[in-house]
Amino acid sequence: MLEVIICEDNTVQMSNLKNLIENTILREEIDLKVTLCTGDPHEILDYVKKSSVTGIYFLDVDLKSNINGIKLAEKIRDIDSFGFIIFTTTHLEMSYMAFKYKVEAMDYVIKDDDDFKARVNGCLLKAYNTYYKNNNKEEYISINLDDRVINIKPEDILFIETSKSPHKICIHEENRQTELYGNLKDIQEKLPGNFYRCHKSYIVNKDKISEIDKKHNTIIMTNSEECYVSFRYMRGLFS
Amino acid sequence: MIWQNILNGVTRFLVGRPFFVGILYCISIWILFGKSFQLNKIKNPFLIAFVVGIILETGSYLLILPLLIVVTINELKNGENKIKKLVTIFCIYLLMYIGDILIILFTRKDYLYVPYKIQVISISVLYVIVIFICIVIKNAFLNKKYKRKFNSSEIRSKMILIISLPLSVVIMLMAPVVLFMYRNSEEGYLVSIFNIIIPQIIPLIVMILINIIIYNYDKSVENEVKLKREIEEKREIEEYSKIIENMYSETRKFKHDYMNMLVPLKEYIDSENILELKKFFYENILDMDKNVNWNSSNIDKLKYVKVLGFKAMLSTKIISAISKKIDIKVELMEDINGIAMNVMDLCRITGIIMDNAIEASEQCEKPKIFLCIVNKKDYVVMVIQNNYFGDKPVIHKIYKEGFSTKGRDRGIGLSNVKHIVDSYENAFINTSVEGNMFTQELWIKNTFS
Repeated sequence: MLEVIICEDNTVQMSNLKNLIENTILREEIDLKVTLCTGDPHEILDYVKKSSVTGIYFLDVDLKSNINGIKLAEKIRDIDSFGFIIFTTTHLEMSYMAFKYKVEAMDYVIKDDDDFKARVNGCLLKAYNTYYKNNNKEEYISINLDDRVINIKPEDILFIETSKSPHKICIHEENRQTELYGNLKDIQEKLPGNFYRCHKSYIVNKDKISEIDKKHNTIIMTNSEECYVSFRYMRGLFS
Repeated sequence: MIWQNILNGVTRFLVGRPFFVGILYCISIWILFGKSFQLNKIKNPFLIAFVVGIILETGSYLLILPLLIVVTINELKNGENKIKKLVTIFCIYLLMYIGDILIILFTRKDYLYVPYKIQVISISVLYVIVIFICIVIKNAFLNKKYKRKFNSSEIRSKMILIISLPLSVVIMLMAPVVLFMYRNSEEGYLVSIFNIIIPQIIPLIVMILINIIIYNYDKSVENEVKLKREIEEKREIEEYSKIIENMYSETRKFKHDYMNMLVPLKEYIDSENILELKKFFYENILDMDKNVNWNSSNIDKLKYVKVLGFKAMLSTKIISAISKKIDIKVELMEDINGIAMNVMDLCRITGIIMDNAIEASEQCEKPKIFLCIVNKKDYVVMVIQNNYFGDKPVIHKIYKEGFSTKGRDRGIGLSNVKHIVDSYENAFINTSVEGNMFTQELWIKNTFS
């Protein structure tokens, strides 16, 4: 069940935001409720810990309490890893990217801006749609080792290779390369069947193979990147 | 028969003593450093000791210096534990030399080839003496705790002491021994001098002096490089301070004008002249800051970077971007204290990626660069994002050495970055392209050692 939780210590702004959201909920007829609206971050943390909900959080960056909005967001992210965090602020200059990387924040809205209303609505609807597109979640595999959570769509992966450094693997997609700790064996268990271990250092996505060069033992992928296939595994590739 | 004789001669006279001296050396190492010494590492020192011993045993003036130089260079080439190997060579020298002196002292004779019995006796005596000294040293130092770290000048003086002490002892002993033999030897003493002293001592002295010279030269080169880098860093920090001061004075100007503008407002409010108030406000106050040269780059956010060399590099690149009219935003909101990577490597990587970002975004009409550094759980993450114009970069190609979209003889930057990141077990680099933004993330895991 998706819930909306607001943390804002200025009462005027808080009721403003609450009304805005409730109006949107009514107007768009979506299944949401503002379950908690407070200026005390500890209250929010207790609530989230107790009820283990997935929430859409509107957090004020400058809270006058001893935890500021960012620390609060970090703690919330520890408990609720699927929630949507949106920061509200009056500052003109926002560290959007820093928030995105630190707590996977979805977006931020500037309180005194003209399009404050439009942005809040936009964020709300986007979070709602993302949550209820269940098939979207299944498309992603979540790799959660070592405190880094990486979400990748298996259908985007071209191949995975081990890096020169020990314990490191690199996932190659069409538009992205991601390095992380791991070994090929563990990763292969999380992947669907179309991934084939074609070499000691490579797992390849058979759907993304463009051609196979048997003479040089290489596989050419759809983006013309090359990876090796070892003699042992060559036959299994064709099955 | 001849073969047998030769074999006999070789084993007895040439190989016997070096072999035992080598074993003695290994035993003394084991006594002195027993705990931290693995048995399988004994092979190397023993081998060196054995070879050096044989060379010295030949007693040939022409052979010793060149052979020893060859052995020394060969061992030093392999790089590891240079000092340990040098120490090995010098110790063997010393041991053989003492052994020889013992023989001369006790037999009062001059031998071209020392007979078997005398060899055995001399070696056993050598063993006893050396092992005794080692045990004494070990017990003497067992109680003291040498835990404090020596700085480089202390190390240098210690090294010079360690090398010069045996050297001086050896030179000191030369004269009395010669004199002693002159008086007491049954046969000519000249043989001993030419057999033992000159072939062994002169090469030893030469080698030690050469090593000291090389060591000092190395150190001076290292110091020069360090000095140059520190001067660079200082210059970069100065430029950074200049920009910050400019920003501050712009802010002060604005504040000053701002205060001046509020005073007439008070007049209008007191006289309740809303119309004039409105006019005044919309004409003067609302756009008051349009003439102020705001620097919206947040370069002052670099105050959160506590790693000094890194901060200097970042500020240089940001300033360079600002001067090229690139809209660069620095996003930092918490202290970045320690980064588990060598500062030089970190600066090199940052420099290369920033240069690329600047060059790429310049091609756009509205160049934009985002630079963000955050602490995320155990990681320090640095993200550099820039927009680009033209063809989408092909990620696997850009890291290949020699690949460049900017002409020939270029393209080593990103391959260097990859090389450096690969050499660290705790560093990762992620690259992605989305829309017309090109993003590179550097994740460095904190290693608690």
